[in-house]
Amino acid sequence: MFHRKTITASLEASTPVFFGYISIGMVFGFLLVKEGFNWLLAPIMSITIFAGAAQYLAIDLISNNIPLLEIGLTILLLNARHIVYGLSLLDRFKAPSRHKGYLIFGLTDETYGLLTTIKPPKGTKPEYFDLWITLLNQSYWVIGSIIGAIIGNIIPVEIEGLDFALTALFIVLTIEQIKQIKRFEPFLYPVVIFALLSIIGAGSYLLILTIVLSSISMIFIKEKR
Amino acid sequence: MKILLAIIVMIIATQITRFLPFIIFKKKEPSETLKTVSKFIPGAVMITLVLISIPINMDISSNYKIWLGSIIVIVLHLTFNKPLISILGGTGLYCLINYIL
Repeated sequence: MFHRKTITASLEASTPVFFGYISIGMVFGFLLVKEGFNWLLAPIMSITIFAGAAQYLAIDLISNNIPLLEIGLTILLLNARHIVYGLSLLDRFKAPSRHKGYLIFGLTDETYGLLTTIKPPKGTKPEYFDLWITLLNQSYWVIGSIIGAIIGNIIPVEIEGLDFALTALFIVLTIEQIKQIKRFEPFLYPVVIFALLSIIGAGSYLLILTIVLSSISMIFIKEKR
Repeated sequence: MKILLAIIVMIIATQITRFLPFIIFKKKEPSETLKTVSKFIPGAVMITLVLISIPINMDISSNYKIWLGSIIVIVLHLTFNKPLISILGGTGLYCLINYIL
């Protein structure tokens, strides 16, 4: 596990997530404390739930006293995109290993983005490369949320625009996917579906509906031989 | 106590979505169609996450800043091809745009 080249490579590969997670983790911790919650909940949630969007939503759900069943269903729908992630990683996580469960547990949008975009570089141990990426990403997320919670406890500051790091990260990952797939359909279809759903007014189901319908639409893309 | 229960519910809901495909396809192989589709899905999901994180509005004047920031990220990435430069530079300039305009 402590193979130097593998650790260096995963540190390098995960740097963009470092900046993304530290900043959006900070915003999460900050908002949580500002809503009146104990700062310890920030690291507790980041360690046990480890799902960015869900944790942001959680602040809202808990502070509005939403019933548990409704909380569960909402989070399930919001995170349903993970099912799709798992499907495309079946092969990559095929080899049985002791840390396989953790790799699945830590499959966030960003970890998934890194794992599907970046191949383990030559000279590294692939099975530990994935583990380090996941471990590092979660530690950035936990550290970010702790820093945010502490800042929120001490000083009243405004973070204007810092959360753009998340959009920037997704843009970069999309460009990398375009370079790798070299097809336009997987990117065009979601845009069309997203636009149509926005016009119809899908509201809070926009994310989940776009992901589900886009995934289905991929069936109509013929593979080049 | 109620908060802790809510957190447990969220842990379960989140992990169901992550473990489900690995449990279903533990023994049997997914079909060829499913395999092909899953190759295209990451890109489709990434562009969807971009679209979702950009508040699209018919009124361009209200969110031109985020468009400007996005273009900066794209240009930076196509020029330097270093994720770190694209994300840090893009976010820094976006904050600057927010501060100045």
